[in-house]
Amino acid sequence: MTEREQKEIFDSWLEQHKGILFKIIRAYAFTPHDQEDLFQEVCLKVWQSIPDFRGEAKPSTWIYRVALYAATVWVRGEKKRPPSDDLADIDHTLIIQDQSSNEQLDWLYEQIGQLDPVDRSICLLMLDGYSYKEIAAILGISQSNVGVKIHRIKEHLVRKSRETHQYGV
Amino acid sequence: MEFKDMQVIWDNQNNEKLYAINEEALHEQIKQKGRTMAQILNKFEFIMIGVNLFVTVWLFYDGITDGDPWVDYILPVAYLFYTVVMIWRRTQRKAEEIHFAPTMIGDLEKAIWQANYLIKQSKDMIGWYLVPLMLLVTIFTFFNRGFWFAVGFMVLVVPATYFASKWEINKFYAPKLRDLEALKETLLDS
Repeated sequence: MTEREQKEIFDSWLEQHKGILFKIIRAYAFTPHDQEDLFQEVCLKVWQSIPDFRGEAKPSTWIYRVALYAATVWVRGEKKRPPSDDLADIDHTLIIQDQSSNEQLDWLYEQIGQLDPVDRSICLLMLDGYSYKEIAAILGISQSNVGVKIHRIKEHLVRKSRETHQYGV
Repeated sequence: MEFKDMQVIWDNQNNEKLYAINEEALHEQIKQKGRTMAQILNKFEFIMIGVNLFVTVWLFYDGITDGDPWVDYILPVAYLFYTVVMIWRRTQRKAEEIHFAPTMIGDLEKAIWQANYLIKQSKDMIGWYLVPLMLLVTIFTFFNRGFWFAVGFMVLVVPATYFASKWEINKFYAPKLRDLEALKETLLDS
């Protein structure tokens, strides 16, 4: 595959599926600096994965898997990394342009962000309508394992919602 | 709020308004950072092979032009041996490289395989390359430069190289491997 072909595929994926990437960076990174850093990391992994894409899965499923893996590994590394100024001197790749917020959605992202990185992956896939079978195939774990984790996540989110409501937060 | 309400909130979001992508800057970043682990391994192997080959040729040339006795050819022969071993190991690695399932677990297993490979390479470098070669160089330093040069080399360079290599494994590769294994455990844990 030539670099030009790779770029064409990447650009078309980015155009069609940027929503997936935005959801992932919002769920895994919480400051503009971190979101930019994670966005670059995720895009890099998606770019590198293109030569391995054989068309056996839908591009959206492929992108989800690659991006979630990149985000999960990034989160674990991020905890140990000291804050850097690497991004200060370069052109920004991700621009936050709309500050208007939806409180309920912000709350939901906040709760997702507090889950374990693996559970975050499962939660995003679940909310985006992937079946147990598809989630199991994306992650490489059993459907029963997915079922157990989803049950726990749903319970956790509902409990958190009640606590928030009860204390009027 | 029940879960179905959260689903409605989720389905109604539009993150595309929240962010804009600077594609030019993104491509620039990808170009700068876009080295894969496979490329790093290839580069590492090519550099090692190249350096060893260069030293071999240089030592042979030096020995021949100076008319050195046969004993002085032990060092270039050792370097030649290591060059051949490195080429052989690279061929082995290429043959051993297996394809991993296109899943998150598959990606993790690939990363674990690569980290293990790097650790094994580094350990082998210490045991089979650095230590014997350093000892050999010390012996030649003793014969060519005298006792104190040899002692200095032995006391300073050999342990420093040994501990630097060990430090590299413990500081970078081993924690990365442990982290990846812990992540795999979390993923499989129900």
